[in-house]
Parts: sequence; structure tokens; C-alpha cells
Amino acid sequence: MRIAVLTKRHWGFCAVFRDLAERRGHEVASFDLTNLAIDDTLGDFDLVVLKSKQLYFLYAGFHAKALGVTVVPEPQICKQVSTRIEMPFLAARAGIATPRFYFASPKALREGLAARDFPLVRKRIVGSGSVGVELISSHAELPETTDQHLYLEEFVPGQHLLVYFIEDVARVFEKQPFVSGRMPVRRIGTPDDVTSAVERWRRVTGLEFGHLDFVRDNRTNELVLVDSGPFPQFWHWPSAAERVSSIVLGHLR
Amino acid sequence: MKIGIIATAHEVPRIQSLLRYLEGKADVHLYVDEQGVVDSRSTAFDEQVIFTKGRGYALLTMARIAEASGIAVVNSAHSTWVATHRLLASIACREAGVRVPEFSVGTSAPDAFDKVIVKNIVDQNHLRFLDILPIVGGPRATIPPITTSEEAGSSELAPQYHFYQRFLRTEFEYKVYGFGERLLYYRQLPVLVNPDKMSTRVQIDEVPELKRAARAAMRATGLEIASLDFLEEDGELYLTDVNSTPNFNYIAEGAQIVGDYLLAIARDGGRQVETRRAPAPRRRT
Repeated sequence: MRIAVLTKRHWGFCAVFRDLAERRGHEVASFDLTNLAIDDTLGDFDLVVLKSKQLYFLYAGFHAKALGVTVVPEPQICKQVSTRIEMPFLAARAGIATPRFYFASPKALREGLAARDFPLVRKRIVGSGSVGVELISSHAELPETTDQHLYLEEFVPGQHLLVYFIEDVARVFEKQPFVSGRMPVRRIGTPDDVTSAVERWRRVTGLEFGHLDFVRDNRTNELVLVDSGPFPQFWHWPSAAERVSSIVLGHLR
Repeated sequence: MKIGIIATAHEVPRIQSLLRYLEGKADVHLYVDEQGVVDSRSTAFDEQVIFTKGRGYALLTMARIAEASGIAVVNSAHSTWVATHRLLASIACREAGVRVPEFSVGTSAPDAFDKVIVKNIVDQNHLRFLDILPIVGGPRATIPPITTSEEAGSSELAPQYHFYQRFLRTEFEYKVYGFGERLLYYRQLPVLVNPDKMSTRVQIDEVPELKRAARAAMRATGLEIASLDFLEEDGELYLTDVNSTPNFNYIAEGAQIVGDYLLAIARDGGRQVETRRAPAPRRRT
């Protein structure tokens, strides 16, 4: 069988996946933004692995799916999970709280936000690994000029929880706010409300694996979902890559 | 009756005719993408129907908030998003059996296309890079990096990707405006031949093949109001562009047609599009 892996990184999960797939007799081709072409040649593959949520990889996933190729994870869900202005609607369907957010031009934000609305967290519409995430403490810290709308999220004070799940198993780590998930973390037990939230998330999205970043609001003790992803690197979970690789290969017909 | 219109500032002058037509017939509220703050906690709508005119992210977010409250949105956030991303619109239309020119997204034109037309990945034709696109080139044509969608992320390689479509040798361009089930047909010289498209545009009678293709394309993308561009090569019609924000002022009584469409939905209690028409047949499963 021919497998295409769409990825920004060829190490980590991708290396493990390639090794396992080739040992099982499959042919694996990896594509990053230096060699990706989104055209009908994607129909030559039996399976497309959508490792990255970057727009062009999503395009490739949609294209491959329309050509009848099995794509894992499902591209439309990847888009909804990964896009900042779509994820809250998905979370609401799963009964998971998300922070209040504001989305507007810098000018409208300067005029429309009150001093009491700060601090806010600025994020990119699509992003991962805390790239581009910054705390905005006041009007003065809003960008002066930009033709891009800004996505700003209510700052939720509390404990930051990085949650990975593979099927019905979840692992929870405490992490520092505004740093990449690859930075040192501390593994903790899985609270019941996290288990329940992951179950609902899996049911709504149909995802077999993924990650959820929660903040436990220290004012209300409520779990608030601040980020999600359809295909994490599973830092801090040894053997996860092998397990996920097996699940993905299980989609080959 | 209450009708909401969510528009980008670029579209506001174009909807004045619609606002005038609706005056006295409905209570109309205009939301402008660039002027307000979308607040997930307090942005709310109480209209029976929302009309979206534009493609901005704030517009799409407001549309999603309205949809989540059960309000009919024309065009929906998803259909606008699909139409805006040229590749996705081409995929959806081809899958629905509509003939489209061969297409790809990449950093250079495919060898097999002979001659290509190069377009920006995301159709944001009111942005500043309109003047350098589209470009017609030969095999393996490359063009300089251009500003692209924020959704493409921060990779330095992202702006090097473009949408390539096989160039069609055509005498005429056909334009179909769709307002629900009502279609209007026009013919003009191709824009690449004569950029002043309106100077050669004439209304024509219904063309059965255009009707079938336009209906299929609108169902596949989910658009209720659209304009669709077709080119004819060797006797075959190809859908080359899908536009979710047609300028209805180019049509005689265009504002009235759009207004009546929205009024009918509002009068009907604002039923969602899924219940207003049957699901689209799909060519592949």
C-alpha cells in the first residue's frame, strides 16, 4: 500500500510511523512545504496521514478525500479543531467551556474594549506550540497598525493542563502558561472532569487521538479549553507514537 | 420582520440599493466587519435571516454565532469559506459532477497544464495584490511570493504557494447569477481580453448545461446567492470561478431579487438552508 505523510517535521512521530509502516511492507512518501503539490497525484495513495494542520496540508487532505483516498484524521474535523474562531463552537457542542474571545480590527478593539476587559491573550487564528501567543495587558499594548483582525482571548488565571488522549486513555501534565508543550511538564493524575471532557470531545469530533489544553480557572475551579489539536507530537508520552501509528495503519483497507 | 446584513466595509457601498429596497418592508440591521468587535459573550442576533456580504474572518465568526443560534444565514459561514478557498471550491464542484479546468496548488505550475492561469490561494479580490494577479504563464511558471491568507500560518514558504488552473482558450465568458433556485445568464468577452467586463456583457436565455452546472455547483458549495464564471473550450463549458459575494447591482432589479429572497426566508420563519432545499446528489461516495 502507498502512504503519504503530510508533515512539517520528519522526525518524532513521522520517523516512528515510517519505520512501522515500512516494516509492514508499505511504501511511505513524506511531504512538507518544500515538496508538496496538491493535485490529482494524491489519488495514487491508499492512505494520507494529515500530521500537520497547516492550511496547505489541509487542502491536500480535502483533495485526497475527494479522490476517494482514506485521510486520517478527517480534514474537516482537523480544520474545525485547529481554527481558533471555529473551535469554540465545537467545544460548545461537547459541553466544554472556552474563554470569552474578541475578534476585530485593532482600531475597533481600541475603541470597543474597556480597561476592565484586560488582560487578554493574543493568539493567531491558526497556530500551535504557543507560537505567536502573547499577553496584552492594556490598550497601549495593542498593535498600532495592522490590516489583520486580532483574535484576543480572556486571560483565565489558573493551573494549565496539557492533556493527550489516545482512544480512551488520557494523560495529563501540568505546564507553564504561554510555553510550548515540549517544555518540561509534570505528570499528574487524570481528574474526573478531564476524563469526562475528553470523552465528550472524542464523541463530538470522532478523533481517535489528539490534545487539549485546559486551564482550571482558579476563581471557579471550572475547566476551560484554551487550545486543541488533532495530531500532537505527544511529547512526554513515551511509546505514544507507536500506538498512534498502529491506529493510523489500521485505517488501511 | 427582522433582517440582518453582515458586510465588510468594502461591500457597504454595494448594498445601499438593497437597504433602500428593504426600507419599510423589514427592520434591517447592518453589521460592518471592520467597525464592531465580535464578542463571543455578547454578540447576538435576533433576526429571522442574516445576509452575509463579504469574506472577512470577523464576518465569518458573526455568521457562525448566528448559525449557532438557529438563525438562517445566507450565505452560510461554511459555504463562504469554501467559495473563498479556490481549491476547495474546485474540489467540491468537480466532486458534484461539474466540469472544472484541471487545477493544483503548489509552488510552480504542473508540467501537464501547458499554459496556466495563476491565482491567489484565497479569493480576497478587494485586497491590494489584485493588480498582480491573475497571471498567465507557461509550464512550470513561478511567480513571486505574495501576501496570502492568515490561515496559511507563518511559514516563509506559505506565500510561494499559488492556485494554478489550466488556461482555457475561449471566445466568450459566461456568467450565471444564482439567487436560490432563480438563475440569470450572461455572456461577455473574457476579462483577460477586455477587462471592462460590463461593456460587452449581454443577458442571454437559459442554457441547459449552464443551468445544470450552476445548480450543482451551488449545492456542492452550499451557496444560496452566488455568481459563477464559465469558459467554453472546444464546445465544453468549464466552471472557472465561484463567487460568494456577487455584485447584484450589475443586474436589472438585482437588489429587489436579493431582497425578495431574504424577505421570503424571513416570512417563512427563517428556516435553515438544509430544510429549504433537498440535499445535493453526489457523484462519488
